[in-house]
Amino acid sequence: MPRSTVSSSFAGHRTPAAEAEMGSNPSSSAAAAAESSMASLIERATSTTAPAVDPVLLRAIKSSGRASDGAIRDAFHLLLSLMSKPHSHVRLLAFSVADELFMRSKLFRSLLTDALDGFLPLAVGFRRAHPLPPPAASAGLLRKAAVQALERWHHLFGAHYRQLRLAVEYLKVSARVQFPGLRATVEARAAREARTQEILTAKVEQLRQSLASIKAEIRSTMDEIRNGLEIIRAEYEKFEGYVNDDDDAEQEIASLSMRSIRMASLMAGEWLPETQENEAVFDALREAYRLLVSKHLVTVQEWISVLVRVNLQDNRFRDSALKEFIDVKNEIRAVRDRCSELGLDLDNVRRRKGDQEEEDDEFWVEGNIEAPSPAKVQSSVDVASTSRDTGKGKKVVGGVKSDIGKAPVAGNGTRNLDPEKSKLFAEAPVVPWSSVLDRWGSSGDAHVNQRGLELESHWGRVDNDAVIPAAKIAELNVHSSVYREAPVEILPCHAPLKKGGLCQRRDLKVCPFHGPIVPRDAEGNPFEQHSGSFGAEVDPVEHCDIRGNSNELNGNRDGDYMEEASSSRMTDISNDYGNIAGTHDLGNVTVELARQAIKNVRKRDMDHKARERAQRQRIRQHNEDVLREAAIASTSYSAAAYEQPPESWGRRGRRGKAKAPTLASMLKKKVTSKDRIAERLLNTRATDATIREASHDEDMSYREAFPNQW
Amino acid sequence: MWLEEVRGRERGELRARRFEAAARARRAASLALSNRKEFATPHHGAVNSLQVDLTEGRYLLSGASDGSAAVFDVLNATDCEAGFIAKHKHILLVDKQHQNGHKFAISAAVWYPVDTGLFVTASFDQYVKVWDTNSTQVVMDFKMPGKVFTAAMSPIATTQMLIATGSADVQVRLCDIASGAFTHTLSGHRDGIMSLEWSASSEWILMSGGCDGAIRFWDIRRAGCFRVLDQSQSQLGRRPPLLKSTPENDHIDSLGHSTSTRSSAQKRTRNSKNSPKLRKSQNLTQGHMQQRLHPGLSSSQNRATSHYGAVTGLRTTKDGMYLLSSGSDSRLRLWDIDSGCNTLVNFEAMRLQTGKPLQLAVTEDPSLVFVPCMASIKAYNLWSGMTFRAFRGHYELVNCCYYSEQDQELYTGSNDRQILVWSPSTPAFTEMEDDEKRQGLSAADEDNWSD
Repeated sequence: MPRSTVSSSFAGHRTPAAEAEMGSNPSSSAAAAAESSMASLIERATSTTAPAVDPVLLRAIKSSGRASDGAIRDAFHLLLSLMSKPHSHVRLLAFSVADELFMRSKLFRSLLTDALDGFLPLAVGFRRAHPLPPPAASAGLLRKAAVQALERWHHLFGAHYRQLRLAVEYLKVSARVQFPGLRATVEARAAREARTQEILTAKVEQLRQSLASIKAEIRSTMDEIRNGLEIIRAEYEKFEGYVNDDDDAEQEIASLSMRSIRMASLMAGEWLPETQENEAVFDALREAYRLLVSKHLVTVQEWISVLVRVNLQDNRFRDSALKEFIDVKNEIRAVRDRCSELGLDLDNVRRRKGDQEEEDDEFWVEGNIEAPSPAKVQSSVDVASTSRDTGKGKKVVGGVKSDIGKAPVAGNGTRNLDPEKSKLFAEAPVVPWSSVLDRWGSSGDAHVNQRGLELESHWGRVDNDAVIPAAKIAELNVHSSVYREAPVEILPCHAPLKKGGLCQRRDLKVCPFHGPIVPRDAEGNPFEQHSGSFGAEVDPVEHCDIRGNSNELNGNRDGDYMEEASSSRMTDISNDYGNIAGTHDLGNVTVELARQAIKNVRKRDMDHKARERAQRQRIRQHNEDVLREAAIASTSYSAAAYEQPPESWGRRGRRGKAKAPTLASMLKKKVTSKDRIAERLLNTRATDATIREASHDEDMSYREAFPNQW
Repeated sequence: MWLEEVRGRERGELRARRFEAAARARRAASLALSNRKEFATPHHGAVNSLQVDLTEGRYLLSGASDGSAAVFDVLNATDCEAGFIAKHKHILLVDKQHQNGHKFAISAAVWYPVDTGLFVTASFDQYVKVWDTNSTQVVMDFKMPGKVFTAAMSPIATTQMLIATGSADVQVRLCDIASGAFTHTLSGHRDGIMSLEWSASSEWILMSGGCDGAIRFWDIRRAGCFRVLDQSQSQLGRRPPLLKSTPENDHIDSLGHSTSTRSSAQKRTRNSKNSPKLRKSQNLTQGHMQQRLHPGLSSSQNRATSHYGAVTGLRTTKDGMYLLSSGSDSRLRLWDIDSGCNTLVNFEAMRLQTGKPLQLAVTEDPSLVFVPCMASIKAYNLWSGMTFRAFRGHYELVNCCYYSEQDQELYTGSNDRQILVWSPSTPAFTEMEDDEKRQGLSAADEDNWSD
């Protein structure tokens, strides 16, 4: 509906408007020329496949629109008629021209807003009955551009045109078109910006008052650090004076390189001018340093960022404050660097002190490591510990466990132990670690609350003397173990390949290419093969039998059968060989041969079955072919569906290649390879379906019953 | 021209009534979508019915498909946007959330003609409800046998307060507010009744248009319908003016009162006494009908149709002499009420909604008729049938329009939920206002050629 009414109303509008225009200035032929030029300009601007309007043309359109109102009217009517074209790209270009004019000309605005209810469906395509025309890509662009433009128009001129407000409300609420909301986001960002500025300004105001106090505080802290450093330095020099003879004592070194070396040594060793006397100084220093780094430096950096971000009318205070803060920051940095340069990494100092205490706690461990063990041979700490302390049951168990864990190592290690112990080690079971080991060997009752904790229970009173009887524990401790398959190495096939080398396939019994896997020598010859000279003794009857079999099978796969025949011959040979060898060889060989014989028989049986299956398959295939041909021949329709007429393909390809893209070509659906494949699939599927349909009913039972040739 | 008239009025050459009529006509002719006045719609469905109250001309009542009815103050805006856009928000709303609200779409909402203390809503949930405006409570409700398509109250009634209701049922029912009962059931239509209109000249005369295409006239004091309009029975053009001396222009506005009173007088006398009065031909048909057909009309007469298809809208002119009807055959017909003839005014091509009652509007000097034509409203010259202009602004089908005589404004309601105001645009005046308020605006609406 809207399209027809719109176009009719446009048509209706156009003539009277043009007449009026002519009537209003009949004398000026220049205006008429401008109109015609406007029309031709717009025609030219919108009849390209370019993604956007040529800026030169656009400028020309704008200048001619600026020149006369008549040109604007003309452009309006022409653009409306272009917008109703069933081609989205034309609409897109027309819309972009309209947008330009709308933003500039009041006359154009008033004209367009009056026709907006007809214009918008053509640009946005929100009516389901009238979606945007193809091509789809341009349609998407058009919709996006239109919605964006509408939002912009609404923002700029909404107050003046009720139609714009209505359109936006309708699209938003009723048609549920998604607006990009660019305007809204921009506004929100501006609001956010304003708010942050407000906060920043308030902060700067606050700073204005507290700047002096902040600076004084920082200065005092820095002075404290400097004083502390001075004291330490003085003391240090004193200290250096009388510990000079100490072998690893530090030296006050002036040169930088030496200082760095000393730094490195400080990392490793101990730099300890800290004693009972100067501890207070160090503490104060540490305190001040922490204050400086963790608080003052951070504050200063924050203030700098605030000052950088803030926007004030009067920038003098900001600049001066910023300068001061940067100076302060540099000073703090300098102090910090000096501290670290002097090796007074005060955080580290504190930590090191903590470490010291911990080490004191762990003295026993250290002693443990360095304690001399009776079995001096072992380097393993575990073993050493086990051998050393026997007092604690737990420790013993742990030691045993570790030994069990690395049984071979223990085996090596226990070579020198007393023989009884080594015997015990040898026969000790290797079990994975579990709670069972906690009670290894003990067979008494166990307390339920074995840790002796005072437990309060929600569920009632706790019997602290409860005991689990030994029988129960034994039941709980029953060993279970998961079966683990011993890893089997699958031998490679090792049959010689044509291109050289050996087949590396690993199959259990039969290689799909080279038959059963047999032990082979380095060149890939089977060990039994060296008895090939016995080939003359092939059983002629057997051979004939096979030949006859292959003749039966229409002889179309001779190579195959030859191969089969040869393989069977080979087995025969081995069989014969077995017979011969059996006479002068061990029972071992006879077993082998018997296995081989069974294999041969089975294989022949299987071959026979496979051959039969293949035969049946071929027959069925043949029958289906016959049916298919018959079906296709019966209907020309299906034949047409089966194959595309080749000339159509050729024609399409040629045109696509030869011609430059036109507006009409944009509308044509492009045949992609995907489409082609889909079509092909569809065709084959369809024909297959029809064939199946045709042949299925009457033939099915017959075919199943008698898989013969027809 | 405007100044000339003012000058003429100053000198006394132009009489007050004519001056006023000319001003009204000029304003009515310059209607355009108002940028200064807008209603913020509270409805979530199509607006089906609009009416401004008859006593003050100030409160607009709207009924919508989501079962809501709202009242707006058309004079005083609730707030202002951008300095000069007056936004009128609803001052009263009853919807489904209301304890007595309608369950389905409201098809008609009309004011009680005597004051604004009551209004009536008719709905597809088969109820007609009478509301107290001040307490927004239902005073009374009437259960109908089917979907109620329309309800009407006589604007001139002094002795009765009946709500005429047309529903999917074939009978027109008259509900009495005083007693809370159906006083009349008027049978005659063969299908549902889409539109009802009380005569503007006689409080007893009711006109009904049905889905069977017939327009029937009822005198509620007597049984049965006394006239069925027949589209094939026609007279050429409008009735010749009674006073030959008065020129055409004068006729339109001055004729109003005198003729209407006279015609109602005629009707009354004719109905009661059957006295031969005016022209012979008319008299003959009248007498013929009365003798032979009333109260039971002859079958041929009884089967007459005024439209092919349903009659979707009825509207009398203010003077009560003419009846406009719209049908689902997309035709608009102008009937002479007195003679019951089709005046054969050929209204230009239009396309009308077929399935819904339409609400037409006529200016008070019957010169323009506003018809909802799909998504636009068309104004036709009542006498020539020429399209005066089309009002485009709605995005979906328009259901109703109401012309406010007091402000010369047109209100239209549509499926896109909006109620639009079309007000007289006087460019000079708005320009002047613009100049006053331009300073505060973000972007002035001016040419902006950068290159």
